[in-house]
Amino acid sequence: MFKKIIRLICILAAVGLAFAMLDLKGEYAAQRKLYSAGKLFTQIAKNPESIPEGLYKKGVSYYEHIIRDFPKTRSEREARLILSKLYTLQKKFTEARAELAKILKIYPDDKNYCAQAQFATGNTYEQESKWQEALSVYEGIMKDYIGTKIALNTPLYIAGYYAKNKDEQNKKAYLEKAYNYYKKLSEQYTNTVLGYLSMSYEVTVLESLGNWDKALKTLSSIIDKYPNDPAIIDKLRAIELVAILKLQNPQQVITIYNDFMTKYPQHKVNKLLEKQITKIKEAMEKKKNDIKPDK
Amino acid sequence: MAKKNKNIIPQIISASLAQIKSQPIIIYPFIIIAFFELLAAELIYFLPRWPLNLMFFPIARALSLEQALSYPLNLLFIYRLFYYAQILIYCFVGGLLTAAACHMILCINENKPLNFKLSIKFCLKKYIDIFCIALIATAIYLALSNLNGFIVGKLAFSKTGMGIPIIRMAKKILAQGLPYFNFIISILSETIFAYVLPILIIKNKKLSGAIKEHFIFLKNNFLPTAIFILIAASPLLLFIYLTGNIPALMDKTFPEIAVVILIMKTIFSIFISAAALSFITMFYLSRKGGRDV
Repeated sequence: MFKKIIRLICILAAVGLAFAMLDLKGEYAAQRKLYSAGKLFTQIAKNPESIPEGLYKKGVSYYEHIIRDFPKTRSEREARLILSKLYTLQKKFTEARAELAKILKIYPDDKNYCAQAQFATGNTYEQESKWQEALSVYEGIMKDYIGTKIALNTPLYIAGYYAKNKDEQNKKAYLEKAYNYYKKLSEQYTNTVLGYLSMSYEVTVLESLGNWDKALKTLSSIIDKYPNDPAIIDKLRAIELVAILKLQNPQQVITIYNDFMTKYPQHKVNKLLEKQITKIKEAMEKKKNDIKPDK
Repeated sequence: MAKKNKNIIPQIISASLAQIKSQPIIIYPFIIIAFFELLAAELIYFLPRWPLNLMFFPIARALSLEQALSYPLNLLFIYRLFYYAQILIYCFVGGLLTAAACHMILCINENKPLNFKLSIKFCLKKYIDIFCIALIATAIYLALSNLNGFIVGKLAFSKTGMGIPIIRMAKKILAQGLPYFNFIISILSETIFAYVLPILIIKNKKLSGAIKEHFIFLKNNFLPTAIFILIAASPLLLFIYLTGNIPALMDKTFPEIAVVILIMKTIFSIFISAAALSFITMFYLSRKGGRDV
């Protein structure tokens, strides 16, 4: 029996060894290395000031190994970004930017990845308190990597920077600029995902500007143009919030909902809209009756 | 009768353990089951890597399980896939090998020569019946386990009484205790079908006859049977605890600890299954055959 057991163990070991040998340089092996390196990175990032130079060197060497040993894998791409972060933590901004520049050179067709690299480059300037350089990089993303998530977020990020620094004038100016950016995109890419997303961002900007009238009009246009939006319920809630709470004009909700139902009589949300209209009408009636006795 | 019942449990346990010690070949069928399970675990472990990922990636994507392909999250998914693999292995091979082990225990008790191949040959003639028993036992376990999950889920995650601290605490305990309740369910479901396989082999009966006789026997011996299975399976509680804490263990030690625990559990299961089968078969033989243990 002992021999038989040894034979079974040998089969298991052989199968394991064969599969392990088949993929020594693949994505999975790279992910394992990246995980180990990630643990070290987390340790460094927790308290970058008090980390000894030797540990930084170890971290850098981990990521350099991944980049060298696992070319063209997803992990190699991630390793390049993290390596630049490691340099940034060390305040070696030139090295960090050089590493990020390599990404643009090696992967020029990967728009998302390049946008990430450029955003990280902007961050290095920001940390060096070189806002103008950072701004120029960020605006470059908005222009060169249209359609990426980072490009869409960047105008709001810039406005957020001004808000964080209590620079209300620039914040407002940038929100206006962001609105025009999204407006242009939504018109240029109408009936596409990008067009839809740009309109949603438009609403966010208008809300930040306190321009509730325009925000409501944009929300109404979104449900009109994109009736199959999976997040349509959220848009309907937003319409009600803006019209009732901000504009104190519930009648506008009824008008928007009625227009929607006329245009899309078979839409699945119509029952919900009817219910909401009834509720709003009842609330309006109640409010009217509450006011009368006071008079 | 009650006095006899009290004594018979330790007697059966010590006799069974002595039998396993003197005739370790009884464990062999369970070693083969563990071999198939470990082989399945190995294949599951290598699913995210080339060349198995070529086949698995489209399936994972269709099921929105891309995370199952990336390290270290894939190590958590191993448990889920391994569970399904275990069910298949038990239905197609596990039942047959357990029946063979049962036949070997019978041979020992009848002082007949022990031969694993002959036992398998004998059981193969009853393969359809054995497969049906394995299928029914699995279905009962799955049904009870799902019912348990549903009831615990309803009680633990309902909003009722959340304002009362004692109820809130009870709900928390209930939610954390789900794996332990499942353990009890597995003991119960094993007890419900415990003697069908031994009766099928020992009495050489047909499936329907074996089921009928099993329930007649179980009616008077439910508690000792459940106790036997509970005693044999109790080391699994340690693994239930460890499995429940795998994400934390992975973070504190190394991610592959998840696989180590799975392997250890599978190896432990060899002895647990052998002991459980030996206990109940010996108990059945002692009650039906009037043998001294």
